[in-house]
Amino acid sequence: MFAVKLENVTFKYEGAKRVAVENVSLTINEGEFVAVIGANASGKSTLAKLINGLIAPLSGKVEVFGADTSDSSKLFEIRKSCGIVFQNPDNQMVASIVEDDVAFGPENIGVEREEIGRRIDFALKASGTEAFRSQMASRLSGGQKQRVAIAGVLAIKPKILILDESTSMLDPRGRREVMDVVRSLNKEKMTVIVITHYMDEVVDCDRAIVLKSGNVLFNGTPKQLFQSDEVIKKAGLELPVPTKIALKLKENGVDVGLPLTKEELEERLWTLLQKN
Amino acid sequence: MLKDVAFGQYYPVESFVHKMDPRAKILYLIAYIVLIFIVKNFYGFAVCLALLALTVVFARVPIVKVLKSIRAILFIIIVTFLINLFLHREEQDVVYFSWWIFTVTRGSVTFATFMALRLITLVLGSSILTLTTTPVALTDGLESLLSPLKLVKFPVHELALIMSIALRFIPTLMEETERIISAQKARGADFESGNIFSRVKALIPILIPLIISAFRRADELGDAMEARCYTGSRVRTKYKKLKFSVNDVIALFFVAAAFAGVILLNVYAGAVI
Repeated sequence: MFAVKLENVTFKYEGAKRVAVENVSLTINEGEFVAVIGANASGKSTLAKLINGLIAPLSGKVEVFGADTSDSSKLFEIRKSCGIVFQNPDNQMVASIVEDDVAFGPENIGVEREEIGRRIDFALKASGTEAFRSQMASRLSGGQKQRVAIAGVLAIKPKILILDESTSMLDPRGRREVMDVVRSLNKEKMTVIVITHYMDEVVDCDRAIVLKSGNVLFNGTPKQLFQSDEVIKKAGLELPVPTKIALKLKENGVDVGLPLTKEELEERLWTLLQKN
Repeated sequence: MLKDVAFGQYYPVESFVHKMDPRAKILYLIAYIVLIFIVKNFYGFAVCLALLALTVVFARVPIVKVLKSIRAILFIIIVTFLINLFLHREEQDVVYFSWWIFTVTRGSVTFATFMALRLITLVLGSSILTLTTTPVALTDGLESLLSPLKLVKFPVHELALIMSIALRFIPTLMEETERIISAQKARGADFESGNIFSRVKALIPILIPLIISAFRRADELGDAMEARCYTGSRVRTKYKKLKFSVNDVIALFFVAAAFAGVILLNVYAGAVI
């Protein structure tokens, strides 16, 4: 069974002139790490809300582990299995104290008291925020707050984690903190969907989906994406710096292939130097 | 920083009173307020003040912090004192001073002093509650105390959630206000000069962005809460459980003793009002 399945999904916001998502079909497997990228207004955040059932498609069908999001009796189960971390960490915390905020999700689904305690332990540990347990959320940095927000979602024990531009308000360090947590969660078999406009967050993914004006422009591996200039240009995206350097080198007759990360580029340059 | 002012009332130390159950503290405060209102003579007030002093000592809060709370209502105290002093009338009274409609009598002096003492002891008592209890604990305590009202379909849980979200957003909105003030100052806005009307008018460019952003935040928070399976109180459980402790029982003894003292004094020491 697919973790998420979209079939010819179209959605339009009330009062909007054009559709936000148009005739989109895609599937995401369990345990996969998928990046959804696109410029502003490409429909990527709408996609997140569609998967979680916060909005229902105008036409077409969205299924999460086989449950239709248009069926309101299944929404509770869908939201239990699919958590979203939003863009602004300040606007998704309910309680002043970290521990109380993380408890909010499990409380909502009616978990027993002792079990909530265990889940808070688990969620804080998985997001590396144990140290903040009894602190005021307002005193934390952006990256720390966002990791607490992840903990709040993890405490519900979802099978799918969606990050809806969760790193866009963070500094580079905060972004790294959050992405490290997400990657280690994916290693533990969590299905992860990262919605972003940073190309370097795409590098580690199993698959990249590029959206443009509500349409799927590309659906394949990051490697394939970085090789297709046309898609990148059309979607208004920018290559990661190491890849850009490699392309410039190639133009000047030095072929180092297509490295996606700094380490990869270093490695290739090093082997090239040793050969000569 | 504005951010720190928001929770400025709470005085974080470990003490006997801090460790008490918030429900007990709220109930004892209510009992204490009742006490202030049944007191009929100054001896009774001495008992109330003794209870207050004892609580301050056990709360390990500096007395200055407690007394500061009077400042906020000093104006009201003075005005009510003066009104009572000049306008209060009793039959068969010794008149000290009289001019136009204003008269000062022995009865009015006693009455005005009595009322001022009542207000002062009321504020002092309440401030001890907010100094020794975090806003979160207060909300939890209120929710628990009001929970019987669920039987008559009163939305207790929703009310408590609204209160805790409001508390949670105070520092966030404070920060935002500071940011907007800086942004408007950078655009040449002037908040410091002019008369009271132009100063109030200068607040509009701060309030409007603040309100708009608060609505946007509310919208996003709603989505985030729904995404975290919030559906109301249907199947909800609660993580934090309040527990009464020995401290609460000991405190109850003192409150009861004060009550007994005041009632006895009311009966045997005569009434001044």
